[in-house]
Amino acid sequence: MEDETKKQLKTLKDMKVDKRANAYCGVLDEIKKWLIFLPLIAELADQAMRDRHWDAIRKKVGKDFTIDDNFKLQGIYDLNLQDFKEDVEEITDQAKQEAKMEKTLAKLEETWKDIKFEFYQHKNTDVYMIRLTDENFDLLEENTN
Amino acid sequence: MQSSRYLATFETEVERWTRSLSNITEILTVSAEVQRNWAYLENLFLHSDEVKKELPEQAKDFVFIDEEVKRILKDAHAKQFTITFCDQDWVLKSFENVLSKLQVCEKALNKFMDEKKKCFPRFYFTSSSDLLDILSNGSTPIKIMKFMSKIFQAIENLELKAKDADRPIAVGMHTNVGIEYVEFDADLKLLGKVENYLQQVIDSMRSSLKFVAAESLKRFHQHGKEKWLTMDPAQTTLLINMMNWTKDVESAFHKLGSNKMAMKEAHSNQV
Repeated sequence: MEDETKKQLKTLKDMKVDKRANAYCGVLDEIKKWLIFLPLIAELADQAMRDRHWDAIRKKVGKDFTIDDNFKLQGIYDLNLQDFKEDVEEITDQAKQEAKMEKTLAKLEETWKDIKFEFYQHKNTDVYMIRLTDENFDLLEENTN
Repeated sequence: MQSSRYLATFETEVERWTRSLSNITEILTVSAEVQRNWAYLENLFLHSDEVKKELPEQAKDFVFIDEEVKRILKDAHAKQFTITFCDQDWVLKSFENVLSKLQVCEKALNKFMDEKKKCFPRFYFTSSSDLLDILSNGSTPIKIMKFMSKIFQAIENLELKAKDADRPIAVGMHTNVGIEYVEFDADLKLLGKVENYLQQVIDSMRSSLKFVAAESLKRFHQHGKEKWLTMDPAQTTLLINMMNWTKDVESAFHKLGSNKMAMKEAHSNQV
């Protein structure tokens, strides 16, 4: 869609019309708006977006909306996101970084919930000494950093 | 993760993990040291009468240490999972507490060994574990015999009389280089502390060798060189041989003034 819009922009510019005509300027503005709008839409569609991020967007644009299956492109378009380009990018970036962190944390949980000590018997007693396998010890060092 | 500028949202959780993992690292370090020290000292403080007698206070403390170490390790074994065990607040504290107590015991033990070394310097030749073994078995001299080669060069063991008695009597020494036996000039009952009777053994060795050397010198003149050569311990034979050689050459020098052949005669005496 982005590419097509760019093509349209080119076609428009190639047209032999009065560049100062109202119609020409109107269409040009509209196309430019879409060119900013479309990449933002792509960012917003990212799986990393959580409710807290949508809240941040609502606050920025000062409008309320509900994200569900009935939410139409028109709804987003009406938010005039192109006026908040940098804010929106900041929020989606944060969403992605946070998603990465969430994944790392989940992985830690997953890893460590299964790690056991390696027990070795002390002489012939019922005392068992503890240590980590080299593999798990490396994992610990890796995870600590 | 901690340095990320997007930390805010997950801060609590990230902090929890950071704490948890660094805690595990610390526990592993301390527990490794505790386990090593405990295993090394356990035998001495719980089973060696000598150590118990010499270091009664630490031996008493060690009873507590021993119970504590076993209690902590038992809990680890019950929990199985590293994170479950380490996330308990008391674990690191208990390990650290028991480690500091172990270090006090170890220090006392080292001081004890240092004193023994000063008292009988040949103990410096032995390793700590051998020395501890020697000190622990000091009151049973027969058990000390296997360490003789570590304390005295070229000595395998002492010949003991009345081996069944608590305190046997040393009557001579065996070498571990070839086969040679030197009898002591007097019987020596191995009494008192190990560092004391080993010192007496040295005195015995010295006076015995002196006695043997004097006897050997007599025999040299009695039996003639050829027969004498095989009669005495090799070192003594070498020593007496050197003494005779020196004496002969010296008197040859004195005689040279009147007898030009004196040196040649002395030489033919030697070979």
